[in-house]
Amino acid sequence: MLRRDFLTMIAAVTGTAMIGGRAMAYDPTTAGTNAFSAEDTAFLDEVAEVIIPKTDTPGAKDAAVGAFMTVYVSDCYTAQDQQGFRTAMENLKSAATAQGKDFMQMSADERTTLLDGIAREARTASAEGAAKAKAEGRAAKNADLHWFTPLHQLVLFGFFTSEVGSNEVLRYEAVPGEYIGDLAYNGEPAWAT
Amino acid sequence: MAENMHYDAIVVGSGISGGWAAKELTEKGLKVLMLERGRNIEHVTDYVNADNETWNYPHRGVATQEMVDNYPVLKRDYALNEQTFGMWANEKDSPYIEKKRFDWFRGYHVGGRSLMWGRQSYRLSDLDFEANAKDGIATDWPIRYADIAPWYDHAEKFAGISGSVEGLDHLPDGQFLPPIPLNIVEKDVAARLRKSFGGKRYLINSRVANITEPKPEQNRVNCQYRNKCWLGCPYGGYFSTQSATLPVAMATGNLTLRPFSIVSRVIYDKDTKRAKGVEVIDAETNQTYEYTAKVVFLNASSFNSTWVLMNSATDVWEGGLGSSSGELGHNVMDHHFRVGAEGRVEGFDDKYYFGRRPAGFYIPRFRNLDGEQRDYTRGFGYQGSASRQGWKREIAELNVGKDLKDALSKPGDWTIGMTAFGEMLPSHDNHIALDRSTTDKWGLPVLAISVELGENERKMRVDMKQDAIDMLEAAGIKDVKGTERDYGVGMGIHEMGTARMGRDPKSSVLNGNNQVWDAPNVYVTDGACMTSSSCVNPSLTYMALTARAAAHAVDSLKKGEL
Repeated sequence: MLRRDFLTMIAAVTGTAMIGGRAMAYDPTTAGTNAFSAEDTAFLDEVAEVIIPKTDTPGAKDAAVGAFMTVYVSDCYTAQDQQGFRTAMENLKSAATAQGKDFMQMSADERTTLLDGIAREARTASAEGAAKAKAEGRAAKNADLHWFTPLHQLVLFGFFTSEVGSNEVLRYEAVPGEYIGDLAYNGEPAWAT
Repeated sequence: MAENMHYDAIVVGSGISGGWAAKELTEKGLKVLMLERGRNIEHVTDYVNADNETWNYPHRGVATQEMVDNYPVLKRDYALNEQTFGMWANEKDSPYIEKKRFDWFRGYHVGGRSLMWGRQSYRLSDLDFEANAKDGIATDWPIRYADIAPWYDHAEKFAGISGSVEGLDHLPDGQFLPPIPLNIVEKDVAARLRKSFGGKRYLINSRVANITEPKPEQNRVNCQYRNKCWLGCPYGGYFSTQSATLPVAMATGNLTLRPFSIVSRVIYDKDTKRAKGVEVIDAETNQTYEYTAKVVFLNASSFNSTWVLMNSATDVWEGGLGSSSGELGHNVMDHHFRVGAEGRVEGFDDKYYFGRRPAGFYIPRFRNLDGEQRDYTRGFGYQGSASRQGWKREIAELNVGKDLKDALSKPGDWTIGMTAFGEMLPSHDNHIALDRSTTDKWGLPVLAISVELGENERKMRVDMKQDAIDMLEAAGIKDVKGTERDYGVGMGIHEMGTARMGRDPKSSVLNGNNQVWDAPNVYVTDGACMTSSSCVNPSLTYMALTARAAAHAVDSLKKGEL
């Protein structure tokens, strides 16, 4: 279609879509090349499930947190941070091996005990790293964090922003239609956003 | 059918002020050509993410590393994300030079930043219009509140501004729809604040261009409290070019919209001392066209409207049309912000809320009023909100497992936070200039930007933080701490001042009707025209000034004065 015809169409018809797909607003984004294997995904799923287990509500595996983490790390992490994430995965495996077991062969209780210990240590170390960065005038994002902390945070992010996490563990209302700023609270789940 | 090359009026740009110019001029019967440098975006149809949920985005809304690499400026703030990707100017195609750091966030498409704006809408008052004259700073505004007040009425009634009537002289009330509600914690803090500080500090409902009642005549449904405004609203819940001004302009049958049209210059006629039209480069084909008109409105956003002037009539004035004042491109202003305070609220654990508001509360300026003189001039207001913490909070002593999951599944403490928006003084040193040694994708010279905060702003920022702390503490908030996050000038996305209005062609680019002194049939009614910045969000003022200027233009055309 010639531009002038196109212009005439715009002037004459309102509220209709433009011809041609290339003019689409809000460019859709897609996942890039995934840097992880199916085994990695399965391992991450199991790690995530320890952090957010299935209870009377869905857990991390139900939310496919492992798969999300591989996409996120592949596309949103710098090369250096990706390496750190790989190291964290290896460190977790090594921590299990040090107890004489393959992480994937451990029972749920054994995994929980292992990760709880690491997470406890990580919390202290990362808090110290953050305090040090602050004292030295560095930005929080440049603080030295324990290797487990970014992985731990990504599990929580992946779970609570997932469809099941948002709707079946938290609550989500797509079109609230109103705002009520004074509502009695009786222990219901939190709003997802 | 040959394309029409002559119009009564040409509007350059399609954002908030351009949309208003097109609406007002077409409604008054002028045949108008609206030129937009970027692509078209159709209302609703093209808001492809409007109903998308977080979990549907491959990266849950977060920018990928590739996006970060391609948008070195945009990445400095929230604007770079997966939801609005593609709605900000391509930084490789359209570079600029930062002589000093300047965060320039641009929307190059039909609707411009009206699709992504913050929607806070406040009136300036005579406190603002008289400020430069009283302080002996820069130059006096050529208008006073009485000149613009009826146009604020006009703009608010059409755009739909929700807000509360407060009776404050320095933050005049307007034609409001019912306000977006405050929640119970915000109301409590408001009541406590009234009892402190001599009753002179008020926490009020934000005034925003989100409609709380339907506007059937505009096919707009009231705000649905989804808080997804920046994705385009399928309900027309907030004011944008697409939801409000463009459909009205189109319905007159007098508007032609031409996307992919980069205006390279105003064509200036030395003999008549008038603009004849504009030169356009087709962004897709690189072909050049000339369109003629009796009147030209520049609404390309502050810096780009100024860029067009700088690149026009250079055979008469080396610095471009409007440069005879020596002020074209100077006096860049933004609102400096990202300083405030936050804290924890006790006593409301049995309370929660429903819905996601597009706005929270506002605390109008209280400094340097009623004779007070701080060690700086002008002032600031605060925007903020109270809410309960969600899953992102830290749970003491819980690291993994069921107990952690259960704890994070429940709302946490109530918290309240606010950030100040401060007035920035106009300074001749803060300027933009054409750099002809660097060109964009279309071979056009780019802007070199040299702007920094001054002593007045730095002193003001001390109060911006400490006053926030003091107010929250006075309101009984616990664990109050001051906040200060990285701010680069421009991050307020309120660029202003580069073709200021004034009373004298020797010290201003525009007169009191927004006409370029050196070419009275050229009007500039976007942020470039601002003589001072006030501390309130500026877009409503652009709407009012544009409508006022459009009426002046049509009147003058009838009288044969243009």
